[in-house]
Amino acid sequence: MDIANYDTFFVDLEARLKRSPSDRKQIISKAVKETHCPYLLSRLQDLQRIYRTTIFIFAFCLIQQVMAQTGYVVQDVETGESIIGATVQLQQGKDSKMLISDGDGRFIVSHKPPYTLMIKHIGYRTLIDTISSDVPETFYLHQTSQNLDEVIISSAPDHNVSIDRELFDVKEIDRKTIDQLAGNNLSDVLNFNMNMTIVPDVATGRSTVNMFGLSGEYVKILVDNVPMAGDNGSGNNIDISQINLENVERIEVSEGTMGVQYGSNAVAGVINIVTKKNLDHKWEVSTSVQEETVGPEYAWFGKGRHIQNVKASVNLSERSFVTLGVSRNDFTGFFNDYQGKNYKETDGLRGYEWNPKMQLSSNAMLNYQISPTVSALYKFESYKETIDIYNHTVNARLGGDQELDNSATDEQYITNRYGHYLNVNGKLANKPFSFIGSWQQQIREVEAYTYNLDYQVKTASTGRVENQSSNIYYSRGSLDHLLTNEILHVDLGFETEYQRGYDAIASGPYSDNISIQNIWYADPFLTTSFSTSERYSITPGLRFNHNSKYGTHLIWSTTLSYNLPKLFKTKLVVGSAYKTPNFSQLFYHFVDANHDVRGNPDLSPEDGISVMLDIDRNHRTRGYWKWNSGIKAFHYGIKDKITQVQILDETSTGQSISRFTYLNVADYTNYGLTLENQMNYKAFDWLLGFNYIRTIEYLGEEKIRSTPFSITSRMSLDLQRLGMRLGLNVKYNGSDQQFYQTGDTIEPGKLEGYTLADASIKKSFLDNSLELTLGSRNLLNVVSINASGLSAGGGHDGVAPTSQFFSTGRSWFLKLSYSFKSKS
Amino acid sequence: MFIKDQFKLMKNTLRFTWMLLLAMATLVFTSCNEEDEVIRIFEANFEGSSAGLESLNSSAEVTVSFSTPTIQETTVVIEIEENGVVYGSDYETSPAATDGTIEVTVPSGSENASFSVTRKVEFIESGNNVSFTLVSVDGEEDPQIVGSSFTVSFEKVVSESGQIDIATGGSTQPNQVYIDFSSGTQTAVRRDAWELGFYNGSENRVFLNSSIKASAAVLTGVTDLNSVTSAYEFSEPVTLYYYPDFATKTEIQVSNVEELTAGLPVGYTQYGDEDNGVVFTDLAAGNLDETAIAEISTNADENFVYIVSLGNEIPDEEAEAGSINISGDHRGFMKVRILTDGNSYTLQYAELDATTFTEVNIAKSTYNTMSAFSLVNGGEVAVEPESYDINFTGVFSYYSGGFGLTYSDYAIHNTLGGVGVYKLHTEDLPGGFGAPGETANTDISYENFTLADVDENEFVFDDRTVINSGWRSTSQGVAYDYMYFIVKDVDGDYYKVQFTALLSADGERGYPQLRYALLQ
Repeated sequence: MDIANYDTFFVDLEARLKRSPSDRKQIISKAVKETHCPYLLSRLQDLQRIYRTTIFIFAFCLIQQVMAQTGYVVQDVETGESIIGATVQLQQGKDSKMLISDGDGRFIVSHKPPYTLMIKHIGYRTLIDTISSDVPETFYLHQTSQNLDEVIISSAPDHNVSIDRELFDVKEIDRKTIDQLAGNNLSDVLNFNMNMTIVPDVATGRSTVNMFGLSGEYVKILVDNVPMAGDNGSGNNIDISQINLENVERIEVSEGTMGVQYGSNAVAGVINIVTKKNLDHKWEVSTSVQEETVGPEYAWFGKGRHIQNVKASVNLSERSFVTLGVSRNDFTGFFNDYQGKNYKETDGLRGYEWNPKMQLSSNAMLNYQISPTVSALYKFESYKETIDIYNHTVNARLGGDQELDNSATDEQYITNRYGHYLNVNGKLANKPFSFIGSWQQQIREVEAYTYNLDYQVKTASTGRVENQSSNIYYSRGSLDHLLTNEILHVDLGFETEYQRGYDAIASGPYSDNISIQNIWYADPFLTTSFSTSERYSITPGLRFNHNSKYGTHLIWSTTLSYNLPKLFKTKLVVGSAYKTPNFSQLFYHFVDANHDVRGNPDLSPEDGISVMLDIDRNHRTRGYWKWNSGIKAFHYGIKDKITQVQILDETSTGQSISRFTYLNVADYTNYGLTLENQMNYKAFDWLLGFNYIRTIEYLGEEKIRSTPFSITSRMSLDLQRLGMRLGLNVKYNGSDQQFYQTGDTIEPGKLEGYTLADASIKKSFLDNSLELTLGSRNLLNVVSINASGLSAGGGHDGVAPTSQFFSTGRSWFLKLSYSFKSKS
Repeated sequence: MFIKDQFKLMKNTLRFTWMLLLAMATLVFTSCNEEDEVIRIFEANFEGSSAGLESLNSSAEVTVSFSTPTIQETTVVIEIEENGVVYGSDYETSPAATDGTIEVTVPSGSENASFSVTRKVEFIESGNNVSFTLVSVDGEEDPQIVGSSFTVSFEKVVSESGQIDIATGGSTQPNQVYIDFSSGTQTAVRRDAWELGFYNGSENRVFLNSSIKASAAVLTGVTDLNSVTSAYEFSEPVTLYYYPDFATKTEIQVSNVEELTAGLPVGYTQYGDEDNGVVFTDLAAGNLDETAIAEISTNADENFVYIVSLGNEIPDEEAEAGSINISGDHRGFMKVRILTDGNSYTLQYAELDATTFTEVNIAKSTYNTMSAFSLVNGGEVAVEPESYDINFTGVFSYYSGGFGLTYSDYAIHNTLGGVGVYKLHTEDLPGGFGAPGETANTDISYENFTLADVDENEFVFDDRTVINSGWRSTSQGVAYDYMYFIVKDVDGDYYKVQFTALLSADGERGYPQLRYALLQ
């Protein structure tokens, strides 16, 4: 029943009562049975007043309570206060029933288990739980805040694809924020997160995430809890511009080491992309188009960024849900001073500053409720990326007619990725379980060709040659509450992965050393939670990482939490920071007359410690004002960090030969502090954060220091009556030390500070079915960042950069989305 | 009625949704995979533009070259336009012409089609000629005709300008190419054809082939070639220096031949002692008194044994587009001793560990400046042509500043033959390898440069490396279009020379191109 039908219901009810006042008890008791929501009850109370049936209703409720089978209580997890008037929807097979918690937060269920309960209340996150025994239980609801932070749920509908929020401090970017930023891929939305910087690479068009000053190698990226397939490996150093966000419900960001839960390389943090898996009406079709300038460049064809999306979702039956979606992102390149692909002059201005990239993402999903306690989900994803690399060099030669013939040698990279996911979860003997299996495949092909500029055609081609291929088989399972009593709580899980693949690019430009590599791991893990009171808990966890290459290693972490209801929450996470070497560090091979850079297959994994202390002041309220603040202190100590070094090799004749390789030589330490304040006044939200990191890397005698500082501000104004939302995000990144590859050596330099700002306005029309978003990225037009302090000259071919190209500059976007859906 | 309509509407919407889902599923699972077709561009043009038939029965070959080999039998149609001459009586062609048209048919796979023109009479009035026009290329799809006319005159024709696609041979740069502008010809020789060059002038000098990275070290005082092996111990250790890491000058004591051979091959870690004149390569400038092998004495006792590093092989494998692959495996070491009587050289040579040696006599030739000898193949080799201006040697190596250096795309000029060259550039040159950039030294472009602009004082006759490899940018893959050279040849003629390409149309290295013009 939706709101529109309620009034009809009451008109009908009133009419019936007027027609036969003598049967009013019967009529109202029937109505009470039919109505389940607070709104209806309040209307019924009006009716009671009119027809003086209070006593009857009271008696009716009393009888219901006596007959009840199981009693439950709903409480606020922080304050322990009972929640009155929470809506409880009971689902048993096709039968469903609506209940309301009473003055003591209690509600009674008269059904026999198993059944599913969905508990909702305004200001709290919805909780879904499957009940299989009739033991009375208390459900704890977690408050939601208007903003995107600190949304904590203990048992979300997609519990098995979420990061555990009891153990870690999880930040969330919800759909509203993604829409506000008109985010098509992950690199569009992550810029304004604390402790995080996006590192764009102009040469390759890739973007990676740094967290806590650690590179993308230390950040693990998951989609529905499955490590994403990357160019060489899974989960780490992922190009986030390849992650499409159209079918994404939210993005969870967990900071700090999560080695026990997510294995090696989950050192700096985990970013989990959670896809949409349900729909609250019968069907929906949504489409959108987005037109975006690339810096100041835009045209209908050939310039700018053009995005189209289509998505359709249907609840086929009460048990099954299907969704299909396609998204196309056509980035036509950034010209800047370059003149495009048909430019013929030999002045080096042919091509693009940023080469064009076309992405086509599609997905299909089937969610099926096998039984009241078990559901299964199958998901298929495909991704195709086409990157055209246009050579700046024009090959001009005099032809037979003494005129210049112009051609260029260009390349096209085509990456195809397919993923199949199966996820089964539910409860087994009242213990929540989850199983995930996935197979991901990525193939990259390259075609080198000669483009004749006089005729504007391709005149010679190598054809498409496969130069990277990987197959990743992954599985993860967990069984929670294996051992449960009042103070002890044991969860058990396993994770295993088998990878097979090779990468010609990561192997080095002239490598004759391209070999197919197999690597697998199989890790059981265990977390035990002790809690003597609701205030304290200690959760130690252990994982036995068994890697085919590095043997068995113990990964550990402990979460200590101390909560003072209504005042603050404290969480201390201490754990090992364990990272295995990457493909290039192991297998890179670049040896010619002037270079000798080789990977080192004998590298050992890096190990270290991560400490993260998080103190959150609970929100306070004064009038319309609401604010809360948190402080986070962190430390990483990584021993034997892998670094490229120059070594001298002694030959048999006593001669020393200099070459470059990778060794476990560096010691890395960082300390940092993050301060975050959040304010809310009516429709206005403001987050203001400060972040300071001090990094020291010891390379033998050499010490590399870096102390970047950043300020983040996020503001939004939600004018619901106007259907409008305004957002303004600003982030200042202080100056930082950077390293440059100069010939064969890496030299330090200083990168000056810069400020990033995004602003947007979103307006909804026609009952929210039409939405218009207008905004700007990089409002302050930061194109390049000044670099200084570099020793100029030095090695051969070394040109010290004086500024580092950073982005395409200020761009504007306009997004129009339209969705049509069924009425129920 | 109303409910029924509602139901119908709902049913229709559901059907619509299903259709949409199906359509999208098709979209999802059939990702397009089209690939742009490779287009074949077939261009045909005459090679050169004129030829002269000075005497009776002399003939000239006229060639129509194709930009890409034919893929089927192809007929080239050429029209004849006579200017004061008559076909059959004054001249004739082969294949023969019919009705003023020549048809040349070539099979599939041909890179050109040619015909010959023969002069049939003694006397033809000066100024009369016959011109050929390329009309059509039948059989090829969409042929493009460029540079479509060629003139045959019946008097001496001086080739005043032209372009040369230098036959360096690709990214392994297998050939050194001797270029002579007055005849407009190039002579290509494999870099690994020779190791030692014997000077044909009055001095008794022996050169090392720097294009294969050959080097040599003297065993002072040793005259018995058979006594030297890799185990040969020096009477006292020799102090040499090298840079293991580009920065630290490091001393090394070399006490036997094996230890010497570790630092003999040209490379960054090559041994040497420049302060005391110990250098294992000929110096870059190429002067007679700067060779690694000392002047050969007519007194046999003064000619010592040398250990020769034979340099590096020419690799088999081409480099990726835009790169080079010029140094293959090391070719090993040999021992030599050279004697002379002033008119010819006596070369004794053997494998390093051999106990016997081969002796050959190499007479001084009057044909060219240097007689080349291959130690590997054991014999004299024809390398230098009779006359040349520039040796586009490709690879070039020498020891300097403590390092053995290797260059590619390198050109040297014939200083020993008396050729002088100077460099002009209208723009500042970028620096590199620690060298400062050079400021522009002219504002006259290649096109506008005339004989009157020649500055006689600028010609360099004592350093062959004026052109070197600085005419190109490897990072941009281009020949600098603001740089050119003025060449004064042995006959005293002046040419302006400009490099026009570094890469082939497909972006491969080792396909340089230059253009030249006689200044008059």
